[in-house]
Amino acid sequence: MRNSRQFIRIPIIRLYGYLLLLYPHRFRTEFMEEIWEVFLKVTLEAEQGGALRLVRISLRELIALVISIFHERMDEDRSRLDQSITSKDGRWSMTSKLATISKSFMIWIVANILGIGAVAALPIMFPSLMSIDNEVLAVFIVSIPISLAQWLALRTFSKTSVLWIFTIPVSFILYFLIYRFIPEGLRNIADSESIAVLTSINLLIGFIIGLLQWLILRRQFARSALWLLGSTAGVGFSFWLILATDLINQSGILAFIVAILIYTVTTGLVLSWLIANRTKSGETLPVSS
Amino acid sequence: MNEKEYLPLTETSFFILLSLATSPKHGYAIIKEVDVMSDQRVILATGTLYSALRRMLDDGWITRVNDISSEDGARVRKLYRLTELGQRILHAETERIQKLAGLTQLRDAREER
Repeated sequence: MRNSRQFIRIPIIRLYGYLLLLYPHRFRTEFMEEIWEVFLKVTLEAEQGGALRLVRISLRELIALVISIFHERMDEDRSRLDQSITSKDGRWSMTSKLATISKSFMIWIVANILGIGAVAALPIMFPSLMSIDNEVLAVFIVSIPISLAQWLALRTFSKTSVLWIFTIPVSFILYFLIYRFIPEGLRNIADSESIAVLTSINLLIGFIIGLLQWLILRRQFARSALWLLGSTAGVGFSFWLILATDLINQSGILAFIVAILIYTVTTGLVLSWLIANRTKSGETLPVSS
Repeated sequence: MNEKEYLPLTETSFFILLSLATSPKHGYAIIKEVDVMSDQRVILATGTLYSALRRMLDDGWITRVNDISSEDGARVRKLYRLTELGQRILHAETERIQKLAGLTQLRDAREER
């Protein structure tokens, strides 16, 4: 039993640690060590209360952390705005930058939800899709609306290659290829229904998607490698969560919605951060003293 | 700065200030104290607490001091302490809540008559 709690706690701690890095620099320097220490105490205490309590508290901590990061980022931008107003050479309009970041985050969230909605609507609009026997082809077709919606969203605030549309479908093909290359003997050893195996598969899918998308993003954003982490964690953690909490067996639709929301918010936060710290296009934030 | 300009406080801010009214505390102690004071109704998450503490520090409601008792060669823990402005704000908010409660009691008493 204790092992299962450890199994839940350790990846949550890791994810929390990675998310802490998204706080603004000043906040991180001042509070990160303390937050980390308090969070460890809170989760350790929750662990004594059982697995369910641990999941509940961890979820609350993670959601509060994401909201707090968002607030701190907004507050930082506001204070930079104040500085640019008082500064003589504050030529750059902070208001418009802040608005762009918030808008891009919202556009990303809405686009992903619409993309997923389109995937759900595809079999209704084209019932013939249901009769496609080839699993790879079916996944290729149904994943296009998501990456198409993402590309349309990205285009509103960044010059993004049209190749983005193929990143998710090609990722699935690459995943199937990698899967084929795994010797059958090795495949049979692993329990294909276990949480660890399924999470690993989703981490791999998230990583491949992130890798292909990073190849496009790296032309426009500095430190774009963070996208790899966001995509891997977004897909991997969302599926781990719905598997570990058994939400997937209790309500498939709810589990699907939770997974999508986690992926969307995680990647949305990374994208906002990349936009806020964009340097490759020559558009930079005023340096705060 | 007039403390009334900051009122009304959010419930989270009120409970954090209230927990610091008796003695300086570190982050985890604040979470536990608020948990007890609110009968487990207000449960502060770590991120929420530190965002609130950062704002309060910036606005001068609280200050940060080293916990002398924790200097054992390891990392020195930080304690949060109410400033005079923080105390005035807490006092003003408490008065405001008391006035509201008084008004409610007065109305109830009139209705009973």
